[in-house]
Amino acid sequence: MSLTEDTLYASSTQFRLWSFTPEKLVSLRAETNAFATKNITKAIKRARASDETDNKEQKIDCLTMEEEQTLINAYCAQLMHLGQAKPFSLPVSVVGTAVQFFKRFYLSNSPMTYHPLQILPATLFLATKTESRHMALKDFAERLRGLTAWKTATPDEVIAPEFIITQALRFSFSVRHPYRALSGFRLEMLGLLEVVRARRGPAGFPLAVEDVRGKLLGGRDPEAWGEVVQRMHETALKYLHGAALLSDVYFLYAPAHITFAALHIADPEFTEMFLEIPLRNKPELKARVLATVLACKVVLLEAEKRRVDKEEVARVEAKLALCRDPEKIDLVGLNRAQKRDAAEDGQLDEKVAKKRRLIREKSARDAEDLFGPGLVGK
Amino acid sequence: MSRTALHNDVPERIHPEDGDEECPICHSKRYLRRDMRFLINPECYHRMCESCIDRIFSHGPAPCPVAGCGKTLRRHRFRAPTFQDLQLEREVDIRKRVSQVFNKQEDDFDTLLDYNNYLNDVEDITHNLIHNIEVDAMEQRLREYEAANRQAITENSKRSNQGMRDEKRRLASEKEQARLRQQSAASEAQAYKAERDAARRNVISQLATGRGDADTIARRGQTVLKKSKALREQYERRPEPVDTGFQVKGLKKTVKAGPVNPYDPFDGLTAKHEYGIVHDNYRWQPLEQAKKDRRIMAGGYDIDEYCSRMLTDLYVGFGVFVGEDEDVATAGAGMAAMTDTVMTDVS
Repeated sequence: MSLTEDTLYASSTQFRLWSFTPEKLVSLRAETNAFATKNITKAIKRARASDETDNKEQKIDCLTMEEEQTLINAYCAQLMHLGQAKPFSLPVSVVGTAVQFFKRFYLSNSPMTYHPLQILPATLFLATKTESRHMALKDFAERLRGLTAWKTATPDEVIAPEFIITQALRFSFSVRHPYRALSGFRLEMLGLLEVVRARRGPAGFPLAVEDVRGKLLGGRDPEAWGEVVQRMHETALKYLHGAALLSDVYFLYAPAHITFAALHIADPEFTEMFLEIPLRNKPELKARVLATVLACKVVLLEAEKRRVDKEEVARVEAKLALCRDPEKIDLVGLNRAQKRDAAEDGQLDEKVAKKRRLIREKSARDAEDLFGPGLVGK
Repeated sequence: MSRTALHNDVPERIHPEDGDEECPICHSKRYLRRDMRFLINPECYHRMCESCIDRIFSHGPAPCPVAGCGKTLRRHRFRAPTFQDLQLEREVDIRKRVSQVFNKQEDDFDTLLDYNNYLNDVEDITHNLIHNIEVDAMEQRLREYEAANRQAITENSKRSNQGMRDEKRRLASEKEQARLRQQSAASEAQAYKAERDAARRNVISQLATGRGDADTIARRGQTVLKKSKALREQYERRPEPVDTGFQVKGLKKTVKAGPVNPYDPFDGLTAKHEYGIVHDNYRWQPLEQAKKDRRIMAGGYDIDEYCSRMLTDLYVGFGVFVGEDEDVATAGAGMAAMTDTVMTDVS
């Protein structure tokens, strides 16, 4: 059994769990929004029933799916900036992964349930761990406090939503980034140079040397070709480090397609010519790849043009303040409530706390029995 | 005479572990004399202690001191009983005596039926003697038969002795043969091993000295090894030893473990480039530098492996289209199921 590039990707969690068609992506987001709207309306009503000062007649106005997306995109941009700027100064590999975690998280959760300001540092912290750039939690929180939005951030607040996030990520932390492919592209270019220099290609090379020199390199001197490659590389990298991470292309296309879309933006003619080499003898696949690359290119260009509309974001933020899930605001408390000794602080729901205490006391009593407690709960 | 009379004749069994074992004549107990020995005389099988025998029979034959017995006993006939059960002791003695007289063998008879009838008659006499039934008549028959067949009895006795000697000799010779067989097998196995080791050493030393082509040396070594292998096979093909009449049947066949394959961490999975072509050499400054950098190469870092990985990264998922390729996705899922556990949706 052999593992090709295709089977390798098809077996990855990115493909199996985190790849969708555009329609599916929209329907997932709509579902999440509808579910959150329903739950939050109920939760707010519950909160109002117990709070007498609250205005009971005020209409509950939840965010729409589009408003949610505006907010998420704005926070993605903020996360990109935050991670790469001081005081974190993290490489794109970490920040890009954090952005993807953030996007994946809000595919199944609504900003109304978990506020992006709470989730954002946690995803970045999680990404530092998955990308081997771990820093101490205390250190991380201290750096975070240097930023205006998180002046009072504590380590507990950073870590509180971590389990919720890992759960929403379906415990798959691997993100296959397309920008890594650019090194491979450079290698392929070097290979082409070798072909021209040696006047013969390796076994199975599909193009004639004349074609490589004439069509692919445009008759230019191969030694001066490095500059052209460098320019393509830079342009593509700009898109892959920016627009690709902020748009939905990671959900929609395979990494190779995103890379070639970025290269297509840099130099369409050359990229299409170049695709001859990997897609030799596969005209059918070539048509499909090209169509996919072009579609991806459209998304990338669109994302590149997109600017954060600050006024709109401010409006949505204000709206969000009125429709947050009152039960999910205190994430630290909730997180502690999941743990054993939460009841001591009285922050846990009375009933749950009492039930847990009773269970604990009973098991302690049972443990003193001659033969210990039963193996299976009654 | 009835069978119950037996109990009056033969003393009851006495347990040796019984500390109260008592001599019926002098009534001294083992409790007082630990080294006390009880002997019997095959005339009447009455048990008595050694000191009593010394006392009563040292001056010649005397009647048995047990009340109501009165048989004349001689001192030299006293012996230690083989069995605790004196009835059994007596039965064995009688059988021995009868079989010494009636010592015909199966091949003396024309048919098996005749032999069985003869055995039946002998057993009748033996049984009656043992159980004291018509003892006098039985003794009479025994004596008459002995007198009539004295010549034949002597001959049969000689023959049976001869047979026993033959049997002994046969066993000894069989043992000797087995020993010789083992010895020759061991020496042959040793010779094979020595030859094989020598051939291997030869190949290794030739390879080590570095003269000549490695392949040729290895091939030549192979032929030597093959020759010694042939020797071993010849040894293994040797005919089975002749059947000695002793065979263990129904033993399980032991299955020899096959040769162990070299460990493959990927379990037969190989990486293959579907789209990229790995060139032999890339003229690129960083790669050239890395090749020369001892810090990188000392750890076994493979530049070709790096190039291969970069190419894989370039084309990863090239032929996979989201929501379109069911077959690729299924194949991928199958592969994933092989390599890791399937995630369950928890959100």
